[in-house]
Amino acid sequence: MTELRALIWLLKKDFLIDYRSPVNVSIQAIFSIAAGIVVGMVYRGSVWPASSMLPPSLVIVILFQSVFSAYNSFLKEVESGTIEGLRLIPVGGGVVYSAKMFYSTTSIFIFTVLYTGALAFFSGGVDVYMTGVIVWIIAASLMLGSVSSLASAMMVYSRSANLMAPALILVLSAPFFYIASSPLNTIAQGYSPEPGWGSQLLVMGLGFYIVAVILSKYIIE
Amino acid sequence: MGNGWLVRVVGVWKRYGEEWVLRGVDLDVSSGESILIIGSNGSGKTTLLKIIVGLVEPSKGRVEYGCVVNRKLCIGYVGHLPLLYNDLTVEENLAYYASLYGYSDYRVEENPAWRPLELWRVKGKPVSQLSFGWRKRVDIARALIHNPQVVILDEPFTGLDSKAAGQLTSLLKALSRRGVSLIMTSPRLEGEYEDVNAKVYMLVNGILEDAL
Repeated sequence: MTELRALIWLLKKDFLIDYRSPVNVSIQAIFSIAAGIVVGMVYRGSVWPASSMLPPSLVIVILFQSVFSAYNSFLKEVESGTIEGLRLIPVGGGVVYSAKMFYSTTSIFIFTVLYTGALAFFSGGVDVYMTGVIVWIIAASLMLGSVSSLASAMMVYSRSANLMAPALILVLSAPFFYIASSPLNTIAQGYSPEPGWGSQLLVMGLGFYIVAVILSKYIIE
Repeated sequence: MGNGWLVRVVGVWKRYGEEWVLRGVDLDVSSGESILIIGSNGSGKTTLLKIIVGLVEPSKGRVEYGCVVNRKLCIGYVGHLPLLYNDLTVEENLAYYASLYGYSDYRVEENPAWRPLELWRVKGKPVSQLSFGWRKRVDIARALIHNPQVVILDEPFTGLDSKAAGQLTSLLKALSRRGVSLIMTSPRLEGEYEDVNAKVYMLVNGILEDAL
């Protein structure tokens, strides 16, 4: 119960800071909307449907959003000089990591959905299996939320964090995208992938989260 | 409590690159005792404090704690820079840290530093609008939220005006009377520390020496 309350306060603090000082989230929102407008306009009226552009652009957008989230996670605490405060509190590293992971997952999900909406609107509609797209974004956000928070935590004491965090995200998320690309292509063609594909991706994301919670004890505490 | 001491530093060495900043430091701090470590800039004072708090690992040696509760609940730490969030108010910062120390209905007025350091004056202000001196005062309150048995302060009087320095001296004396141990650092011996009646050590070339 105490740990749950601590997790809620850690999350509340991050969202409150974003609300008071929305520069970083504004950049994320502008990036998603601008990407959606550009891709949508390019494909509007072309012989290729916008849905054909959805899989690669979605992967690129979600990767960029996870890099933004990594900078907004533990690395932001380093920048504001409060990282030592997180190490001094009597709350386990797993709880601190979980709060950052939930925060990253939420922001990656929101801004990726925002991109999809902008793409659909400005291209005049994408003919895809929309429920599948949402499930895919949820699973990918869970995975990349875990990956970006872990990368951010691992880079806390690195002088080359700005370079290493994106590289680490790419390496850690590559196996996920290798598996997740097939159902995404099927969804983009307007079909439902094989049964259980969503659960498989969610289990991958959850599995990575559990491993990262175990590792966080050695990184954050 | 282990044989009368609350914190025991045993043969601590610390190396950054090729340079040894601490060379076999030993220190015992008992309940209610006040310690002042004096040393020039870069002498390793902050490193020693961070090793005691657990923020930095020693290259050799160890730190033992004789507290009845775990280390993080036993120690309060005030570093060079305040561990506060600029976009939150003073009250929100303290409520946030209090919740992480397990206080669900924390009243900031109950903080030992609230009245002595006149923090009610800046209660609703965002930390970003405070001067360095006020931030330092709020940070001291943050370190005292959980009523620690040992308070570690890295150059606590730096950045404080004479009135605030006097108020902090009174607060430190009150804490000491209540049995709280104080470990402080300073680049030089100032009057405030004499008022706190601290035992003075000097950190020279990585070696901690009794100043008397």
